[in-house]
Amino acid sequence: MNARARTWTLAAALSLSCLAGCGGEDKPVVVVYTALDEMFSRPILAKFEEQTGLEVLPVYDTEASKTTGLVMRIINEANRPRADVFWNNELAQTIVLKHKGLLEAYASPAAEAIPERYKDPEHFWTGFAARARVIIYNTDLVQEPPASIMAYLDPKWKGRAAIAKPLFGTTATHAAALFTLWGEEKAQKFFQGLLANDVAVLAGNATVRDMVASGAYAWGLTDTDDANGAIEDGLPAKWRFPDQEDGGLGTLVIPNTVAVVKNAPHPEAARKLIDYLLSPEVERVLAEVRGMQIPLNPAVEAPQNVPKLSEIRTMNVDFSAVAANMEATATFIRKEFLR
Amino acid sequence: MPIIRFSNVSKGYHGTRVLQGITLTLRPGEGLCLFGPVGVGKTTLLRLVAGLEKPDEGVITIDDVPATEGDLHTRGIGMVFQDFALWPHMSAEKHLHFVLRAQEIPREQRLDRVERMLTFSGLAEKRRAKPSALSGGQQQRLSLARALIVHPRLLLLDEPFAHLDDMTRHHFMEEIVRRRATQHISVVMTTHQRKEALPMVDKIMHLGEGTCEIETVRPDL
Amino acid sequence: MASRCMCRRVFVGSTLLVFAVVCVAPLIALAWRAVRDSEGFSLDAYGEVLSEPRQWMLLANSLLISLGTAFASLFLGGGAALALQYCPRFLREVLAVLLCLPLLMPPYVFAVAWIDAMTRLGLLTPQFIAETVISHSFGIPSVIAIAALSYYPIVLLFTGVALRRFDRRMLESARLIADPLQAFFAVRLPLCAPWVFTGAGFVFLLALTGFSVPALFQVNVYPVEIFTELSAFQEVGRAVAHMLPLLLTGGIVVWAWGAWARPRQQWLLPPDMPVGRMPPGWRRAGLATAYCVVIIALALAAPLTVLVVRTGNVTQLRAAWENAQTEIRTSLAISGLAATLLTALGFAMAYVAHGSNRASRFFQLSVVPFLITGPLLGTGLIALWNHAGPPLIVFETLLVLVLACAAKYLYFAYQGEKIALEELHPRPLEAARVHDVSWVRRGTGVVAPLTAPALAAIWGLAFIFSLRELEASAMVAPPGITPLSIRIHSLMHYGPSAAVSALSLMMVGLLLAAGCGTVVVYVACRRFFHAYH
Repeated sequence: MNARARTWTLAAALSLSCLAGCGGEDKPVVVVYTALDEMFSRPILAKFEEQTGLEVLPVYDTEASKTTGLVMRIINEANRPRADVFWNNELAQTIVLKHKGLLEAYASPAAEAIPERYKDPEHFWTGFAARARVIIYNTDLVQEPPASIMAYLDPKWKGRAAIAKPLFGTTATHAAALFTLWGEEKAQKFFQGLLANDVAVLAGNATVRDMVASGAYAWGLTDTDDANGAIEDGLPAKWRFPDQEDGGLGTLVIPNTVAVVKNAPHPEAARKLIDYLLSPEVERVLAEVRGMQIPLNPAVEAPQNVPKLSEIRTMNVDFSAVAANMEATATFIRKEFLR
Repeated sequence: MPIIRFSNVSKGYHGTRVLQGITLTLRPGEGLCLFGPVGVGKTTLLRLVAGLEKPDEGVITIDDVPATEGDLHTRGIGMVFQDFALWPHMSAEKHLHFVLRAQEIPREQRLDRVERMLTFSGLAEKRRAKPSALSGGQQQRLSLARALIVHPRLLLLDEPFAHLDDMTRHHFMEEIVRRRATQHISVVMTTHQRKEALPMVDKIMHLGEGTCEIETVRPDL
Repeated sequence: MASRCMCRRVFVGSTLLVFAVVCVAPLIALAWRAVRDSEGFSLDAYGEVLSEPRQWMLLANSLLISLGTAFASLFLGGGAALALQYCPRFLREVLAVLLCLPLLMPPYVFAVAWIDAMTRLGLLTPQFIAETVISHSFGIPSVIAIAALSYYPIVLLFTGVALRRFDRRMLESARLIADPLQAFFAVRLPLCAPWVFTGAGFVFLLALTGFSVPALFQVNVYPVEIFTELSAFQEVGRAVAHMLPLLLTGGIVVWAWGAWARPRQQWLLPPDMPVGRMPPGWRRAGLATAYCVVIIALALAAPLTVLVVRTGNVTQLRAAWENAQTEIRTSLAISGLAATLLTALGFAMAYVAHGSNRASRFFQLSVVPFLITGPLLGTGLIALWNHAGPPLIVFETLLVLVLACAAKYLYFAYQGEKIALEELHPRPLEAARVHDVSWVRRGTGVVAPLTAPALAAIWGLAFIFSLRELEASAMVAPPGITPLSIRIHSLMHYGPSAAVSALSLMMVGLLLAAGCGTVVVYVACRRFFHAYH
């Protein structure tokens, strides 16, 4: 090898070692994959950094992939995980990860105040700061808003209602919950009825909110955070919880969930972060922002506009069973519902 | 047959006068050779006659119509370009068919004329070859064939025989002279070789830097 | 002599090795991942997926959108390139630049801004959007319209090259014989067609593999289906099975380009021959200018205005700039490194392939990472690099993002340099051979300088496309390393529209700077390294 070639080889080796050195850590870190929108999660993580001195390296979700991109990353990285903590803004995909053996059990002391049904009995995940499924309606077009999701099948609302695509996000979880509660036959009939009644299938919950608020549709199903956004923007829209009558189905309450990723590179730091995220302080902050997440810890004092969990008739469903039904539901939705 | 008039024609590029005050009348059926060193404006003058460029001053008329006015393709011009300007996507045969179809020549007649011209120009065996597959001489023969097959009233030839051997050159010169005699076509050509022009033209325009002298000659074939 | 042979072998070997690492290895890793599920080796997914009746719907939608976008881009871009020829000279350069600018805007940003613009202008009401745009019948035309407005500059550029190279003496010789329309269809169109087809083919491939705009309008196409398989079902095998029709369709287009268009591109002049003057008699300046202005209004003015209006004021822009410093630096670093790698590797591959048909055939594989869509490419990269030890030098740093961009766009860098090489006059290389200059030195000392303009253009375009890249990057970006495109998309759902718009404007600004820089360097290279033809 001549002198020039030796020089180039040495330069390349030095560059590579510098790059490797770039990945080195000066202070302890924790890597969190978070599906909660950046504008809400970033300040919370920044506060954690301040309090603990740990550097948080977040990976946020993108609009294109809506949570499931992060789930796919965790699955792909399984043989050597990069994430320490998975902070999901719903729970079905978290349970999917548990079923795939990609989470590690951790019983956080901060989880004691969280109601049992919003925690994994085996401590693989814990819920906090929830959203609920609601009916949002346009106040200019609707005087008597529908009280139940069964209104989707009412001929009076033919072509005037909307729903988000039930393949991703909380709508997918809601669809799987209905399959779990009602059984396959009744649930399939319901969704086929939606098609027959010309219910518009839109890109996401935010689109449902926008279309209802603008008057394109009279009402639709969305989440409390999106519905609250319409109220705060002063749009002609209101919302209500569906199926709240005695003996009614109740509405699905979907918590944020946190979990430690199996074989996380920084397990200690991961547990610290989870303890922090489950603290009353975080739930209060999330209740106060535009996202209006409902605290699950009864001790947390939330603003007046935030509904109390105790005042909501919630859908009584086993979340593990819901997660187990996700794939079958998605298969039906894709084949029969989204043609 | 056309009357071509040059009335005080001048043309320049990038501030340099190439042609200056050229005045001449070419009677129907006459031939003119543009003669001079490289860069003196011979090709430019030919392009002005074809109507492809506009003079800076003066006007060239063909049958009292300025060369740059009206439709180019209705004037019955056949032109051989210095670098042939062949169409790389068309075979030799297609070149000839295309120019005849443009003149709305009926199919039977077209086939006959194309066959005869291919034979005349020695390209019968290369009829399906595209220009890239032809040698320089063959390309020039095709260029001449394309100009002649349309039976032009006015033949414009820019260095038409530069890549031809003596025999082929003589062959084409004879044909041009024959058409001048029988069809009274007008010819304007450029060349470096005075002797190849003499059989085909009546006048030679000697171009220098901004100068122009007309020499009258007689065709001697 | 022995050391020369060794140098050549080292050069060729290194090129093949780097190509294998950048392009082939992620594909092998993906294929391995796709045929192994929790129970072992399985091809069941492929049989299931390819026999579903749904495949016909996906194929029909994908082909409709790709062909529709290609034709619409042809109409817009090809028409604009022709129209520019007849615009007043003093306006031509400005109009040409403005017509090319939509290429700098990522299609998703463009789509959202355009719909917002139409709504604000009252041309689209929410009811109209609900009833027509987001519906089965109108979703496809909407996708085609948005995609065409975003991609037509590619056809414009290629058609512009064809028109610039077009030897007008060929048109003149036709115009002496035939009327303008006959001359256009018989001479101009067939000679320009191979270049125009190249541009339209590029657009076809971009539309075929595009995800964001069809997803926005809820049109079921292969990239959306692949995303669903990965996201809703976490089924890599099924996702890869859906990729096969994409590969086949894209492969046919690439083959057609290589077999038909590529050989015919040589019908037009090499770049430095003088171009003749326009024949007289063409007076359509007003109409041509109006045509260009309408396209600019639709494709550029409307969405840019919306971005500016949504940004609000300079304070917002300044705040966005300050908050996004890290992301901007990261994006510039990734794009710069990716562009450099693409240019160097593209040159090396083209030079090696120039003397070897076998290598040329092998390098055709470089089109596959582009066709398989970003999420699958990301999956392959993770499968390849996420291992303890030396691979972490790649996986834990921004190198993995560089490799994602390089894999995706390598085919275009390679083909661009290959075309430039083939257009080089053989004399300089022959002279170098006669003077006993080694093969490697001929490449670095003769070929590289003479193709410097092409290399500059390739670097610039690679930089622009790498800066915009999202789908593969979103899969592999290491924690703490966030390119600007990911930041924008993270904010899109809930971020204040002012912040999203400000960041989008910044991205357009960066891309514009990159575009201007490319043009300057290209022109300088053409003057300094004057190619001999």
